[in-house]
Amino acid sequence: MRHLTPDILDAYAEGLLTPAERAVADTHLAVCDRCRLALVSLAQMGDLLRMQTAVAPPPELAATIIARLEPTLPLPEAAPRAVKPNWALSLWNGLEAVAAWLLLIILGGETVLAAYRSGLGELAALIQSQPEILVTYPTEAFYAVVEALPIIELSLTLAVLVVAVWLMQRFVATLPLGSRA
Amino acid sequence: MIADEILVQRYLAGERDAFRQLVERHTPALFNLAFRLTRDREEAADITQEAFRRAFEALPTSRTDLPFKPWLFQIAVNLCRDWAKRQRPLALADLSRAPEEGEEREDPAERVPDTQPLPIALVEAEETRQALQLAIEGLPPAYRAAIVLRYMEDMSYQDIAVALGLPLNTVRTHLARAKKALQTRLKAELGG
Ligand SMILES: [Zn+2]
Repeated sequence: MRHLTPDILDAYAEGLLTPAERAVADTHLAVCDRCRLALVSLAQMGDLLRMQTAVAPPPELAATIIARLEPTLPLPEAAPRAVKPNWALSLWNGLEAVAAWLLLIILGGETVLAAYRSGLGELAALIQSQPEILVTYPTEAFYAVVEALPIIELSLTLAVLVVAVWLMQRFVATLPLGSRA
Repeated sequence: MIADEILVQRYLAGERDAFRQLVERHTPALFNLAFRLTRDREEAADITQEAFRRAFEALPTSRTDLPFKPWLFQIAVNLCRDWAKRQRPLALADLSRAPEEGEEREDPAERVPDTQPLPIALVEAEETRQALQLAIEGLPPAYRAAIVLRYMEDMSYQDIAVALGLPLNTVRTHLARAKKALQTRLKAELGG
């Protein structure tokens, strides 16, 4: 009679056999006292071993290790902590942004008015009534439009637009929205 | 409980608290293993610290998709191997090598052919627990390490293979033979 190998017996005792392997082992165990006793004794040894207690470390070992190793860790910088909400700064940034947008509206209006004063409106009406001008005299039409543009007002408006957008972004960034503790 | 691997990710993201949690969680087990293999409390404490140092220094450049605990134990086992080499540079019986068949038969207790279970009364006795403790100490280091990882750390055979750097089949054989050896030693000890 071929007995079960020690590996198979151990795997059986540890519950690691597949159902098929187990079925094969059971067939032999049913007729072999020696293997059955060996199995019981292995299972018993497993239980005894699980009852063994671990040797406890000195009580402060973990704390000592943490204290010694933490300063030398190759850690990346932690994500920046949320800034404490600064209401005065937020308010100031908000006022700056509002002022910039008001200035932008005034300058924008001024630019439109200046454009009409310089005859851009008449030019636009002319082109609308006779669009073939653009095909016949493209260069002249282009220069006429450029001359009629209020360049200074337009540049100022664009500059203020850039500043106003930047100020608004800065204001939104300082808002203590969803602030983490 | 947060999984080790999640804590490792948090540690890599810069969370110091994840590092502390991992050290606190694994210090007792690493110390127990190192103590069982060195039988020296100070050595065991040093090995525990060194294992953590190496692990956390290596983590940023390691594969973090693998289980943390077997890898950490592998570092500790290697440190115990180095320690054993320093202690007895000429000794052959160290962790890297399993005892051979011939050597095992040297132990007269292992010639007992059939292994009978212990009587129930003995299983429950404190005397048995202590005798088993001694029997574990008498095991070859490779067997002892496998027994500690399996029965005190509740690790799978697969994880033990990783921790000990041995093929899975060798781990199976180690554990089966270790238990048989313990059984016979225990019986001799208890006069069963
Ligand atoms: Zn049999």
